[in-house]
Amino acid sequence: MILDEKITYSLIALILALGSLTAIPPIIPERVVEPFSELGVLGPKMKLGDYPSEVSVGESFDLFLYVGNQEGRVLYYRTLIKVGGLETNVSDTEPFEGRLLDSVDLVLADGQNRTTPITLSLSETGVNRRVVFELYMYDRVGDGFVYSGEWLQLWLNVTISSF
Amino acid sequence: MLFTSLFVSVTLVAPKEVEQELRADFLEAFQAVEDAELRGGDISSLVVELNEILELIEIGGEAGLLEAASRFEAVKDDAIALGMVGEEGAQAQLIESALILLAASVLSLLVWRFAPSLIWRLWLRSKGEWKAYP
Repeated sequence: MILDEKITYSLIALILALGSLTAIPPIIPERVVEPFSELGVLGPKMKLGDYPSEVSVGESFDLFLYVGNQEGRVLYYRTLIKVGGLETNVSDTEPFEGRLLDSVDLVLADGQNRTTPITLSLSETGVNRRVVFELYMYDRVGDGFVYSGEWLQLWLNVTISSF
Repeated sequence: MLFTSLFVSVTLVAPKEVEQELRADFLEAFQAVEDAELRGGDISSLVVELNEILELIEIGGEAGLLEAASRFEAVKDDAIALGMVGEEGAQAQLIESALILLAASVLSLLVWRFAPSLIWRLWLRSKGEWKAYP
């Protein structure tokens, strides 16, 4: 009768396993193991790499801003575009203290991304000017935008306009 | 009511102040969408709506700002409705899961009670004609 018990236990275990596999996923919602946001800047042809390196003062140049949401919930993003030089620092914890050029707001559901065209122009000449893109997320508890730690920069030489 | 007050605001107050007022209303609408998502609602259409409102605020102009103002209430109402639908869906799913678990438990008990005899009966039926020799 040992075989009899073994078969019974095996069948019960199999059925319980199948039942659990069917029933548990709907009960426990999907969890995002490692939530993150994406920030990217594309060149005027919507590609990585064809960024401008030299512009004239007041000259408009086009870029594309890419933001992606993998945080597991809907988020209200704000991207601040700032300009500055080498004197100020930027890191994952401290935002750049440059002058604000523009901002782009957008709402993304989980898993969504969006590429937004932007047009910028710089009003001061200089070598090695930094155009910094920082991603902020709206925090309901603090009722304000919180720096996500995602940032990018574009190095530019801004020359005197030929006109 | 809100629309009327914003209409008066848009026509009388400086555009910058109106824009700030609209952004505050936008946050309220966004929070309503957040709540709807937490309650299990499908918020994809509301996200599109919110981005369109943001574009209208960004573009500015009296007509654009008025249109943006007129759309907040609809977003909030839709968010509440979607949240309710989401909650109902979650409840239905919970009941479905409970029924599946119940069915699995009943099935396990039936197997526990009847499977051994059934298996042996089948075994005997297939091997019953075998003869054992000493």
